[in-house]
Amino acid sequence: MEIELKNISYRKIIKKVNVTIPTSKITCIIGPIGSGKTTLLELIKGIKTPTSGSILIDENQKISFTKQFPEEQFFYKTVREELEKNLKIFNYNEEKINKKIIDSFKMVQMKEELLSKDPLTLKRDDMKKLSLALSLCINPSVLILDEPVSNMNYLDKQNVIKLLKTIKRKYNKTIIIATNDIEFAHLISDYVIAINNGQIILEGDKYKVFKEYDLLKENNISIPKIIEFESIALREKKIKLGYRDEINDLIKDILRKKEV
Amino acid sequence: MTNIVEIKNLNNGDNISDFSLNIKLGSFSTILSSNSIVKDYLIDYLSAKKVPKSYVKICGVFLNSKNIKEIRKHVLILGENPDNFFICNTVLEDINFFLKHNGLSDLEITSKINNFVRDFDVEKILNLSPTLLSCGQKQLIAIFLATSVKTDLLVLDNATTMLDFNTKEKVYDILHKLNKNKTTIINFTNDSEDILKGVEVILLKDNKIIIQTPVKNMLNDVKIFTDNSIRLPFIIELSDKLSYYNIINKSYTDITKLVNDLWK
Repeated sequence: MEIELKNISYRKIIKKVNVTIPTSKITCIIGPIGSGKTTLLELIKGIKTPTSGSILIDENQKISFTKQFPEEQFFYKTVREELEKNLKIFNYNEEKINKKIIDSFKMVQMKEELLSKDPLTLKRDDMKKLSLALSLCINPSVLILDEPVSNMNYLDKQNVIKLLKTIKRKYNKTIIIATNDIEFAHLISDYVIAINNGQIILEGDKYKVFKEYDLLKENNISIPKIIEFESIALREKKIKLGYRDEINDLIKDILRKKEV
Repeated sequence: MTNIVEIKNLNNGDNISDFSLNIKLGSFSTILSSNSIVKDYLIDYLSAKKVPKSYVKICGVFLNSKNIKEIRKHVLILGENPDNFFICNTVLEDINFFLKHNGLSDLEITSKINNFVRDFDVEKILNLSPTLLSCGQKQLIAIFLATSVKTDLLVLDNATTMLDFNTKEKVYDILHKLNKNKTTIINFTNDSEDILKGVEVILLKDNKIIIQTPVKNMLNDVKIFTDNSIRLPFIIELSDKLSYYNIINKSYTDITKLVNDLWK
């Protein structure tokens, strides 16, 4: 079932937001700092209750929430205990818990030797991955991720993109991400919601949103470099390149246009 | 003193051996350190948290147990999570507290705050409690505080990750101004677009320096970066690929310029 936000307001941060989040798709929420991205996620998860309006959501859906700073959600002495705590609600036997732990660890490509470490002594990238594993191990139908790749290097980012896309495709999960990293949003999203000052400026298919060069710039939202290039070519030189994800496709387009 | 950071033959007996690094006084260096343990050591030494056995000289002072306080006077470190900058009831109190304790006069503080409000449009958050701020806003305030104080060496450890595009540009403008006024800046980052903002780029991998080069010469070493699975800034990657097809013959740093030269 879809998640529907009807006329949601929260203090002065979110102002009368109406939006439907598509099922089994990756939705990215983008916007400048202090625009209400995190608050919107917290409202969907139910950490904060809206001051007015309503959120429609299926009761049986399990929703996981991954925080921006992973260390805020660690409580136990070892990584294994952290994962066990999340799996407690299911009444699994020990063998199954073990299997689940190792599975979720494999999914995020962490080494098993880290299981016995103190989560707070892990490196930042590993902390991020662990918090993702904590979400994945309970097998939620909706994953909410707040800045999942901030501070990650390129390779890890690629892995997260691959992982989230696989989860979406294989298990039909709904994934909602708030991010500042516009290149990441461009690579991963199906649906994009752009917000500023607690109001939705644009929403829709990612190409539809990122094409609105001027409107996004006005609202302090950056544009993926590759689309910026195409937009500038169109605006300055009236050359239509088409909107591409890959730099190699862009090169082909440029070559084609040069020949003509 | 020509080098602000000098490390010679650093060993930890485990996975770091004979690591040497020099960073010039007055430089603006970007350090790409994908999962490198040596980065943690660097941060520890720069903030004088640990004392090494080998030769480490920071701001012209040897790092040993006697000189820890001396080094800390010269260096300011800004991490990703800025929570420890906030202790007071409102943001404004925090700003006043921090700047006052770093020796700024009331007049200077007021003018700094006025400039800050004018540049970043933050008037409405100044009277809020710090707990109500979003992470990006906290990072912005922390950067403002760190850049308002006079220091010889400013180290940013992924300190701009939560900032949006426009704010980031303005922050880098401030950093460039500081750099012109003889503050050395070291920027640890994972975002390859940040490379273009600096003057020099250092790539660390497997606890070794793979390459240390000025950004303007980066195009000559594209292969070294891609071989180490570092993504190049978009415009450099595009320049590189277009020059491979002989469409352009120099590297660009500005998209509009490239578009103008492509279709004259």
